Order: sequence, then structure tokens, then C-alpha cells
Amino acid sequence: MNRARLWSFQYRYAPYLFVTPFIVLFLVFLLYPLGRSFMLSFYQTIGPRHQKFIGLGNYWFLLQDRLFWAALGNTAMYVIGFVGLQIPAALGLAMLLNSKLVLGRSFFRFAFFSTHLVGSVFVAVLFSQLLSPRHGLLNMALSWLLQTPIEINWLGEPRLAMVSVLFASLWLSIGFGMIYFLAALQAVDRDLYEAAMVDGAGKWSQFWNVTLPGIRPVLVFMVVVGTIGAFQLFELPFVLFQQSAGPNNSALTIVMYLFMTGFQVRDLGLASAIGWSLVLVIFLIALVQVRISGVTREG
Amino acid sequence: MSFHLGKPILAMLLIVGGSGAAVLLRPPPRSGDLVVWVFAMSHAESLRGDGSPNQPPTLIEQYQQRTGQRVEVKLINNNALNLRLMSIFDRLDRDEVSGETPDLATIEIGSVGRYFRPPVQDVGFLPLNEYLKRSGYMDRIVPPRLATWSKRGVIFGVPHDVHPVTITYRKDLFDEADINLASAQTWPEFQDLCLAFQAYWHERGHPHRYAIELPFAASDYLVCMLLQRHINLIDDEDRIYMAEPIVAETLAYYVRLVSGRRRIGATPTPGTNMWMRDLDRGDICAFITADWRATYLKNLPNLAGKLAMMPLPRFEPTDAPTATWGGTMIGIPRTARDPDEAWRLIEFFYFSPEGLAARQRVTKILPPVRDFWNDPLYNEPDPFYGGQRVGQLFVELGDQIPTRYVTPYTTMAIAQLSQVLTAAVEYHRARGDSGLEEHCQQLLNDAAQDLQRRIDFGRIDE
Repeated sequence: MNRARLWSFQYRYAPYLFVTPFIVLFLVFLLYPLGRSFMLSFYQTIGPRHQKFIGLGNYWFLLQDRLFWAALGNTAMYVIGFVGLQIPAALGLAMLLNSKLVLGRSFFRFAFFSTHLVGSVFVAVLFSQLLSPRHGLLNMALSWLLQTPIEINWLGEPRLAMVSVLFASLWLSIGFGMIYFLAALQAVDRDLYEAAMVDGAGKWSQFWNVTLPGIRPVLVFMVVVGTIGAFQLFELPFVLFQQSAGPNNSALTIVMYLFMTGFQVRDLGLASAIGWSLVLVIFLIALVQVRISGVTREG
Repeated sequence: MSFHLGKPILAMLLIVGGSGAAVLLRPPPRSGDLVVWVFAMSHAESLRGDGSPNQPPTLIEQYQQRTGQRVEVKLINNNALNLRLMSIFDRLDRDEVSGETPDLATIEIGSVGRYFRPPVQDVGFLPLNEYLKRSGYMDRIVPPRLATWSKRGVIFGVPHDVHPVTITYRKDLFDEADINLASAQTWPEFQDLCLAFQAYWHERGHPHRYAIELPFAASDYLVCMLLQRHINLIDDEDRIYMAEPIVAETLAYYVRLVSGRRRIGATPTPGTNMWMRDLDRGDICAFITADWRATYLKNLPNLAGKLAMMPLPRFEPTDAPTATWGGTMIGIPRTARDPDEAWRLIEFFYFSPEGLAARQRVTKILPPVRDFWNDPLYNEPDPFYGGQRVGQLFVELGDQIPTRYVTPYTTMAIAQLSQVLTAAVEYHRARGDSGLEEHCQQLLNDAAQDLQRRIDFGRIDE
């Protein structure tokens, strides 16, 4: 092979060589497991050694499974609460810490973001102590405020269980959302605010007509990503309720149910069906969100 | 020195390069002739010692001196151990994986059910019935304890323990209230004494002082009460007993212990071993205690001399005065390199005087071999419990433990019972005693039906 042909060969095939590691890893660790789990969802299984093709049997079972519906309901409630509270709280905080009137903004930005650095498991351990019935900080604060002994079992009462999870996950994630909104707010053209002021727009009008349109792509991103992440809730309730589904299944989420089915009962077929059902739910909801927001229509 | 991407990137590259080189150049871990996987630190320490100097030879050193076989004990997180072992058991061609299979593995009672899901001939552990018969240990181990680790009569594990259950209580606080809790023979008598105890302390400015740990949203102790009455939620043939009237009756009774005007039970502070703090503070003054819990309590030296222990009260004279809570087995994977050698190791660890001595250095939990119960250690007064012979109490109860079965659906059944319990407590709070037992029965019927549906769906013909 002469030098010119060698260069030509390199020129043609070098790009393929460079992308090969990614392609191999993608195929082995992502595409194959996805395909395999999709196939498994049509089988009744006891590990890979015992498999029986049952078509849509696993999906049909799930349609009639009260635990699956309970998990879906709990997760949906959590998603609504999480996205509905996280986005306004993070945006509000970002606007506050974007204001030049606030002293020590850098410190507060870091302080609010720092909760995100500790991770879900740590937060779950922390909140299990904060919400403890007799000596938890929250009950002690309520007792002090109301001047009467308060013993609310935050993690034991079915109605309060998911509220406690929501409380913990908001504490964990509001600061994270704030960082995205801060970046978006700082990218809004200052001239637009000046023009609005010249036109006589008040603070609310500026927020509604300048700020919100200016940060809309980030807002949509936060809603979609927040929704997807919230549907995948697992480790926080799993640790908070000590590997159980909480009182009266009130903290059972879809991914927890998937884990219990796959690794405790060891039914990988049904667990795969739960996983693919979750994919479908997330896909449909994200599609609706993107359509409603109109973000895809923009150039 | 200059680097065109900047110093932070250079520093990160150096760290990555250095740590990568260290990992690559690290000498491979020395592997033993026999490998044992354990999930609990106490199990590991009883086999390989705690590393402190001037200790007698460890159990694995003694085994090596005796046989020349080197034993490696690997301490692995419980979840990781189960995932790794199940993935080994699930490989299509078992011969291919024998190299990474441990020779012995310990499994916790909450995890063992999943191993019993395949047909008996495909359970990943080796049947031990023949080994146990041949060695004579079949008759020397407490029989109900073997049932826990069996499927359809085939024994897959040797029990590590018996774990009889008692009640440990703050004798100092009960004495101050002039109440002799140990005199209670039945649960209703126990409840009456506890109510008197609470009334005494509530009047004296302790509104958060409860008599006993009984959570209203978790069914562990309800399961203990049912075991006392010889009821398993599911037996080893996958028959469901959840909807039996005796379960509804026990459930309704338990609900009255944790809610309403005759409430005596409280939920402990969440978190690992936080219950001990409740006992220490006198927030909850009695705890259901298996022998492993009694060992933990000794980590609180200021409770020394303040505690006493009693058998469980009964509902009926035919009930057991104890139950069993928790447990561990040791088993031989079918793909182990030399099952006979692995069995000899089990014999040395679990059935030899050396094994007993090593266990006693770490914990006083009762071994499952009855012959060992004559050891003076289990008969001496315990100063921590005010001189009470708590070891002797565990020995007396050890022979009376009810049979406990574990199946792949036991975890699910216990979870369902917890849900039923929570719903029944909500009913009781809203409507009181009226119609409680009927409501409990209805809830249990629904749960049993749902469980049956799951079992039927997951069944693969054997």
C-alpha cells in the first residue's frame, strides 16, 4: 500500500474508528438491554432459565393489578405536586437571587444549590430524623409554636407519607432548578425591560410579558425534565420508608414496584412490562407537554 | 509549567492517570481454596476475627491448620450479595460460572424467598437433606428452624440461629409505677398492665411515654403474634392462610393495641437502631426482642441493670410463648467446586466446639444445635439484665418456637398485611370497635384474593 492510498484509507475510515467505542458501548449497555427487556416483557419468567412466552399477558395482568394502579396514582400525584411546586419555587428563588438588592447573593446561591450535592439517600436519612414522631425537628418546632405536645407520624400516616416525600424532594431539588432559571434570567435582554418600562409596564407586566417569554425554553425544559425525573422516583421513598411501600402503599412508586417485582419476587418479565409501561406513560405525557408548550414550532 | 487546557484539567488528568495506574498495578487479591460470602459484619467477625491483636486463632485459621485449606471470607452488602448470587444461579450454563461461585453463602431470611421461586430441582442451592442425615445433625437442630430454609421438604440451608422472641422492658420504670409486667400471662392482661403504666406516667408529666413498641403501619409484630398462634401467612406449598378467621381476630386485637382509648403501642423512631434511643429515653418502655436485639441493647451501657425480659403473653393456652424473628442460613451453591469440602466447612463453622467458641466471642445468639444449649454461657446470670438468666430464657423458648415458612410471596404477603393493618387502624380511628373484626375479615379476604392471583400468575409448573 503506497503512502497516498494509506492516507486515503485513513481519511475514509478514521471517523468510524473514533466512534466505534461509543457505538460498541451503546449497543452492549443500552440498546441490547433495552431490546432484551422489551422481549422479556412478553415472557413469564423465573430468571433467564425459566421462560414461557405469554404475549401481552404481563401487560394484561398489570391492567388488573391494584398495586400497579396504586403505584401509578401515587407517582402521578407526586409528579403534579413536585412540578407544580418546584418550578414556581425555583423561579421565585432565582428571581430573588438575581436581584441586585439582595446582599451576599453568591453565598445564598451556593447555599440553596448545596442541598442538591448531598444526594437522595442522604436526604432520606436526614428527613427520617427530621420527621421523627417524638423528637423530630418538625414536630418539636410545631410543639413549640402551638405550645402543646405534637406527635404527628409523618412517615406512618398514609395521608402524610407522600407529602413527606414531596417535602424532602423539594428541599433537594429547588436549588438545582434555581441555577437553571438564574442562567435563563441572566440571558434575557435588558433592553426589553427598559423598553417595557418606557411603555409604562409595571413589575407584574414585565414578568408576564418579558421575563416569562424570555425564559420559556428553559421553563419547558424544566417542566419536561422534572416530569420525567419525578416519574422515576425511587431511592428517596425507598430509603425513607426502609425499603417498604409506606403505610397502606401510600409511598409505592412505579419504579419501586418494578424493583420489588424484579428483585424481590424475581419476576423479570413482569418487571420489564412495568418498565415499558412507565416508558409509555412518560413518553405520552412529555409529548403532550411539548405540544402544549409549542416549543417545537419555533425555529 | 504550562498546559494549554489549563491547570485544573491537567490536575484531573494526573489524578485519573495516577489512580488508573494504581488500580492496574495493584496485586490481585489472594483467593482462598474455599470462598464464603457473608452479608453481616458479625458473621464475618465470628469467622475471620475482628483484626485486633493478641486474639486466639480465628476460625478460618484453625480450619487451615487442621485441613491445609485456605478459606476466604468476603463481606458483601446484603443486596449486592443477593444480586450477584442470583445472577450466577440464573446463568444458562452453570458449568461456565463455577469459577466465580462461592463455596458457601449466607442468606438473610428476608431475601431467601426469591431463591425458592424456581422448581425445587432448579433452586440454586444444593439440597442438604442427605448431608444432614448422614452427619446426624438433622435430629440435633431445632426442627422448625429447618423448615424456614426448605421448599417442599427439601432443605437448602443450615440455620445460623433460632431467634426466639421475648419482651424486654424497662423494669425500673414499671417498678416505679408499681406494676409487675412479667405477671401478665395473656395479651389482655398485658394490655391492662400497660394501660395502668401509661396512666401513671401521663399523670406525672410524661405524655409521650408508651408501654410497648407496636407500630400501626408495619406488621412485623402482628406476624409474631400470628406465629404464636401457629399461623403462617403462606406455607411452603404456597397455600394462603391470610383470610382465616383467627387472623382477623388477631388483627382486630392488634388494632386495639395501637389505636383508640386502650392504645398501648407506639411506632419507634425511624432509623437503624433508633428504637434503642426510645427505650433509653423512656419514650417506649418495652420492646419485642429476639436474641439479636438483646445483643444490640448492650451498646447502651446506661441501660445496664434497668431492663428485664419476659416471654410473650399468649391469646390461648395452646399458643406458643414465643415466636421467631429474623434469621440467616448458610448454603452451598450447586455450582460450588467441591460440595463435600464445603459441607465439611459448614460442619466446622456451625457444629464444632471451635465454631461455637468463635460465635460466642462476637454474639450470644442461640445456635440452632440443641446440644450447645447446655453451654454455661447460656445459663449464667446477666448483670445487664439485673442478674436475670436471659440466656436460659432464650433456651427455654428456643424449643418452643413455631414453624416459620418462607416462600417467594412471603415478603409480598407481609407487605399486604401491613396495608391491611393500616386500613384497619384508619377504620378503628373513624368508627371505633363497632364492626372492626368484620371489617378486618373483609380486608384480609381482599388481600388473600390478590395474593392468590399473584401466585397463580407467577406459577411455573413443577
